[in-house]
Amino acid sequence: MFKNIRFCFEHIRLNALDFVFKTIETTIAFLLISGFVTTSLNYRDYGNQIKGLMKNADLMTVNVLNSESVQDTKKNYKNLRRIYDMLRSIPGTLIVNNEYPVTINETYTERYQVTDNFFDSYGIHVTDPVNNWKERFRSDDSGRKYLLAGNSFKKTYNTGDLIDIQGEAYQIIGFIESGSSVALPMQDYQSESLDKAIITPIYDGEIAASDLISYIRSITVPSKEAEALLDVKRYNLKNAVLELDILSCRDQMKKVRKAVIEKEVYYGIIALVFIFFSVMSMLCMILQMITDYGREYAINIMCGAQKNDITVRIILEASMMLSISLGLSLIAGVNAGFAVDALVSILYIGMIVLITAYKIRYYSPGENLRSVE
Amino acid sequence: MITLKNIHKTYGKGNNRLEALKGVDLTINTGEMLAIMGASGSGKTTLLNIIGTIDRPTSGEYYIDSVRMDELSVKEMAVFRNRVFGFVMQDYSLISHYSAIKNIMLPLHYIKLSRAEKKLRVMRLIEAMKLENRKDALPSQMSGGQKQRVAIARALVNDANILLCDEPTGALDSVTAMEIMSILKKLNSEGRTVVIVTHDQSIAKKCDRIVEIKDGIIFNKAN
Ligand SMILES: Nc1ncnc2c1ncn2[C@@H]1O[C@H](COP(=O)(O)OP(=O)(O)O)[C@@H](O)[C@H]1O
Ligand SMILES: [Mg+2]
Repeated sequence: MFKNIRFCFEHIRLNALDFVFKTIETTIAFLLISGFVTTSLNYRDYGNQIKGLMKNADLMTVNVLNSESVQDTKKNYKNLRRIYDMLRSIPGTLIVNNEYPVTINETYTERYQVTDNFFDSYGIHVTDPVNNWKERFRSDDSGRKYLLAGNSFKKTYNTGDLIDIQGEAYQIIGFIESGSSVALPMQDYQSESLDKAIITPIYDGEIAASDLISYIRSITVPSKEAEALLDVKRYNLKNAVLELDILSCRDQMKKVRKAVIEKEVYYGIIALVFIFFSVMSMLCMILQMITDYGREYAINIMCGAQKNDITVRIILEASMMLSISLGLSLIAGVNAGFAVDALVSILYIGMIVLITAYKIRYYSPGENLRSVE
Repeated sequence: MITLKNIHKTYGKGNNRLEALKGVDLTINTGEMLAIMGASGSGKTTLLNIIGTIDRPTSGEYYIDSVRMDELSVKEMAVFRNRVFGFVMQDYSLISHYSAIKNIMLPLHYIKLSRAEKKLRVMRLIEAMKLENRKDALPSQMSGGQKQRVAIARALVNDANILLCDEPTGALDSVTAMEIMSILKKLNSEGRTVVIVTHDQSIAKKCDRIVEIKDGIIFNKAN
């Protein structure tokens, strides 16, 4: 065994470039696998979240179709406010408005203004909260403003700290559990991480008409309140304010679910294809070792090695190659997304070009013809 | 003494079945220098590989003295290849990324000896084969004669008693070929059994005895 280990290292030393190249190739294979698997797993999580949401709430979505053409007149404002207040007063109304990102410490930060039923609906958990965080979140009074900060804020802030947002102090009443995300049905079906985001209650005291529209657009209503929605619709029609389209959320969710399943299948297939090719390429590396060094192994056998020795050496070298690759790909990021994969693929092609150029540069036809050896 | 009795070797199966040796009977005396002649494809390499335990016969009996060779375990066969047989091939069979000295040392990896003893053996052989100033050269940097001398040194490094040479001069010019032959002749005169496969009449004539192989069958030939 010791002898074979020594042989193996010697072999790697003398064929260092080959070893490096093969290791890079298997590293790339691992990266591709991990990248695609992670991506497809992410999509599965996202799909599960939406499926959960569908199960928990049967919601109607309020769509505003002609928001740009609404004139900012006093009368319109009054009517918009009326519509908004009517919607808000419906029991179980859920608002998730993320149209107002903010800058915190010069960093772009996604802000979700939500009603307090948001947390249950999306299964979002709060860590390190103040005792009565839910009450404070609910309290609509002026005075102190509150927020829940994404997990990444834990590095710089503690519960109770104040954060300045556009000149106003918001107090942190808790943090959003690490890894939380939301997939808003009214928002392109995309899953968004909450790790770097903040969540605030809705402070809608003195806001402009366009803000009212953005809130109305962010509203979902339990479908059992269809009657109340009808009132809103009627009021809107009578006063000719907005082109309101009230969609059953179930229909919308169906669309979302279809998209999710398509994406799951799509990424799943791509992941499988890449796993297949990566595993094949690793297998080929090993088979290639046997062909590349077949003659060398035969000579060893002629000089007293057993076939077992050769097997052990190939397995040793291959497992060294694969463990280095695995290590490298873990360092380079199991969470490698598409961008990393693309970059890696380009690097890969670059490597092939470079290695070929290098090998041909030092390739001597004379020597190769001479050495039948 | 090497004794082969009714040795058969079959390659492949079904339609691809090919009987390379069709009942070889051959006795090679200890210390003899034997030439095996035959056309290309007649089974010379196959026979030599069986004698050298690189391959096993399909059927038949093979003895060295009283040891039944074709029934040895893989481990025992490896020991024989390492200590008893020395191989010299037409294509030199050197490892391309090993220097001359490393190639010579290869069989030493499979035997337990002190470092000093190993070094002594290698140095002695490098000197005997006149490779002093080529010992760090790679095979691709050596002439055919030099490469074959490296191969012979490697065959001798564990003091092999039986040298199996498969067309050892096949790739060499006639002057170099004679040089290699005189080395082999000298090794034979020191008591080693030398078996040379060749299709070159002038090489065969340097041996004590010639046998001919034709389509996998041995014919004895008067010398
Ligand atoms: N591994 C193999 N599989 C199938 N046929 C083989 C194999 N090795 C050799 N042969 C065949 O066996 C015959 C004898 O081959 P070989 O011993 O190499 O002949 P020689 O060395 O006399 O030229 C040839 O017909 C050759 O094609
Ligand atoms: Mg041959």
